[in-house]
Amino acid sequence: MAYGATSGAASVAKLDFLLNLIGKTDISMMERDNFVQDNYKSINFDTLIEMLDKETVLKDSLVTKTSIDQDNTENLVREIYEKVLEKGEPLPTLKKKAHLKFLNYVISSPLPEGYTVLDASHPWLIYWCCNSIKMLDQDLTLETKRAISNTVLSFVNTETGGIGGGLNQLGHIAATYASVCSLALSEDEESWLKIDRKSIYNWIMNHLKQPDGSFIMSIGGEKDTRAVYCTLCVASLLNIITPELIENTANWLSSCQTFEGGFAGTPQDEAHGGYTFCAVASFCILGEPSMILPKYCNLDSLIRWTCMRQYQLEGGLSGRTNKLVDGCYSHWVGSIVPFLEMTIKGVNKELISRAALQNYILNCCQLENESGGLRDKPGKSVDFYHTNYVLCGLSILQHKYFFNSNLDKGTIDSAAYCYNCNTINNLNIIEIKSENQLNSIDPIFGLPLGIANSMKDFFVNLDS
Amino acid sequence: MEMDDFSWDDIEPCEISSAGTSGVEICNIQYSDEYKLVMGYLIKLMSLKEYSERALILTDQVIKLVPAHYTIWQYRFDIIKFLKKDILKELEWCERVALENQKNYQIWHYRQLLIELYINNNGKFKPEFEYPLIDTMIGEDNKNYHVWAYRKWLVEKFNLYADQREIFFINEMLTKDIRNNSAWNHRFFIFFNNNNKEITKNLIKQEIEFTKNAIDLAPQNPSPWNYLLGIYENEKFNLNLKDLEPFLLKYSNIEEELNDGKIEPLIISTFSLEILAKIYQLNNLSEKSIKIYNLLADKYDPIRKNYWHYKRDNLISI
Repeated sequence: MAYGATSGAASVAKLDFLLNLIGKTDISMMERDNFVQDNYKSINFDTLIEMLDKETVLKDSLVTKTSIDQDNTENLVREIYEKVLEKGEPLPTLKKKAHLKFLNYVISSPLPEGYTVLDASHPWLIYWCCNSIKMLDQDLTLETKRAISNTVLSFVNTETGGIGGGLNQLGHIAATYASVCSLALSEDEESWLKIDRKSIYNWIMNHLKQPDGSFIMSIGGEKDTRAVYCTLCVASLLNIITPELIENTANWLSSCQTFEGGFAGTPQDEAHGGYTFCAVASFCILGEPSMILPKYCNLDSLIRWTCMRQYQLEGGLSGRTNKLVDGCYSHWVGSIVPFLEMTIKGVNKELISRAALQNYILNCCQLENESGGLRDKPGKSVDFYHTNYVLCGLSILQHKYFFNSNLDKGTIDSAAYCYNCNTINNLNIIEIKSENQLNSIDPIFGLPLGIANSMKDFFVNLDS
Repeated sequence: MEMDDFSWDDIEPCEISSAGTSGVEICNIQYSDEYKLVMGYLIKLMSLKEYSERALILTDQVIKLVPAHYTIWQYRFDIIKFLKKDILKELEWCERVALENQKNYQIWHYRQLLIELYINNNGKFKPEFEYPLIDTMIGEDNKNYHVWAYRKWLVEKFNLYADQREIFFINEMLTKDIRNNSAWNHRFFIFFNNNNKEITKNLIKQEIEFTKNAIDLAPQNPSPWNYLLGIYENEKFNLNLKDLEPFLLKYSNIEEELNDGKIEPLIISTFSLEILAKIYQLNNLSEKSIKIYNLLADKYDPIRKNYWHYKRDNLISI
């Protein structure tokens, strides 16, 4: 299938650029045409050329640490992209088998001693790996599902309330979020019944909830937008969300938006991708994006800040102004985009370059060899955190989301469960090859789409 | 002090098992024997609610191995409180842990707890005590989010907004790297925070001048542009974006481009173009704005083509 990228003067310039790049400046017209036939096949390829082509545009000469770091990253990325262009189509694809091998190893055998550093993050390991496996379209075995629920339930702290990061640990709302997500992935309804929801509710209300509407992570722990997001997800999925629980919360979140447009961990800190996702997704648990975001955010500056996170040469997303791209922001920043696109008016409703981000993910976040796992950027090693969030970002950019108010459950958080999506089928935006296609995820909860709804329905039915 | 300096005969440590037997059936970590032993004692002591020197030694070992172990941090804090330990000494311990592991973010919250406790017990705490550590940590990583957030907390806690050391620190950071956005953010916080009741015209003028000079050094640096927009778009300050036009034209000689002039236009900042488009819109010159958005989309900032088209189409629909 030939994509019509070769029309017009711009494409001639692009072609010259490319030929120059690979040292073929002196060739006949026929060779040229053949080259075009062989190489211009998709918007993805065309976008890649454009990313490299425009990279010299408007660059300051002043050298500082920031510009040195940025140049180093650009050099690593450019080297990869130039090799890809030289090879031509087909472009590198998602190494699904290798990623599954990497993930299946983790859930089937004990982890080496080096993972001790994650001893307070067990539920996260389970969530990252199992969620990634589902996105890659592998079902979890019955055995794995049982193992997930048994393990997570063993982390419940009956003394403090809440779920801890491992055995004998204090309840922690981030660990509880990852645990509830893991239980949702286990689809083990029997284990869902074993969660003491009342004690989790009391723990949240008596220990985590702050008078200003925010939450702290654990008894004696820190307060930030992450804690708000984790609390709202947990309370919503377990159907223990009440008007008292969310009192003042939207106002507090609102105070975390900075002059730059993104959100910070606490008021007046620096705008940051992770915290901005937490704030935006939290708002969208409380209401429909097009209603609640304009009410509590400066929408213009939020959209601007979000779009500014994408970088010309890399195509990837950064987490803050003047910081480097990192694959994990494909999710933290990339997953803000659907909410914004559902909020804005207009015909196209496209805000970032999906093709450029997909190029970054497929070319720069996978290892050069055949090993699995995904990473921050070239030169970094893979880990489970990046594997999950890079895949989430890839999945999100491959789908177009819709808010379907017919799905309203009649609960105060019903807006969180009204999302549908389609795989993007528009070759002017992005080409999604079947090898690269991932299952869709829920933009709020970061779970395979439908799983959060099942858990919510289960508890709504139980409570009615 | 080490583990061997204490007697453990009265304690039967909890069994920390490896694979399979603990109830952890997935993502089970193969701990070292040493870690199992230390954790075994720690969990036992925690369950007995023992707040002792020997427990303190164990928390030190675990925290150095697993910096994110919030349960052990909390236990350590409870021990310090119970034994009425010298908090300044504990802050020094905490400092060593920080310097050994840059990525350890738990320490900043822990320091806050310690300082709050110190104030409760002793009344006055000197915030200067914190500067050497902050300086060292920022020296290692000039955009360390947690350290900047901690500095903000310190300013709020001790009302240091007007302290000359703050602005001196910020200026030093920006002199080293004018693109350090964390420093710009801290600057905005110091001058334009919600507690500042004295945001004078002079201050605003001074900051606009400072920012313009920064832009001059590197016109494509987003940080000062965001800062400038942050000031101009703050309704409380009652400023008019249009006043920026002459300044903006220095970086985007847009008239040439818009009038299809023969002279190659001098465009050295996408941000000046962007703000000019806003100004033309305010002046009801939407056509000019549309041309600028097209220029940004096609020529000067193509990665954001969709965003610039969105801005453009918004204008058309008005």
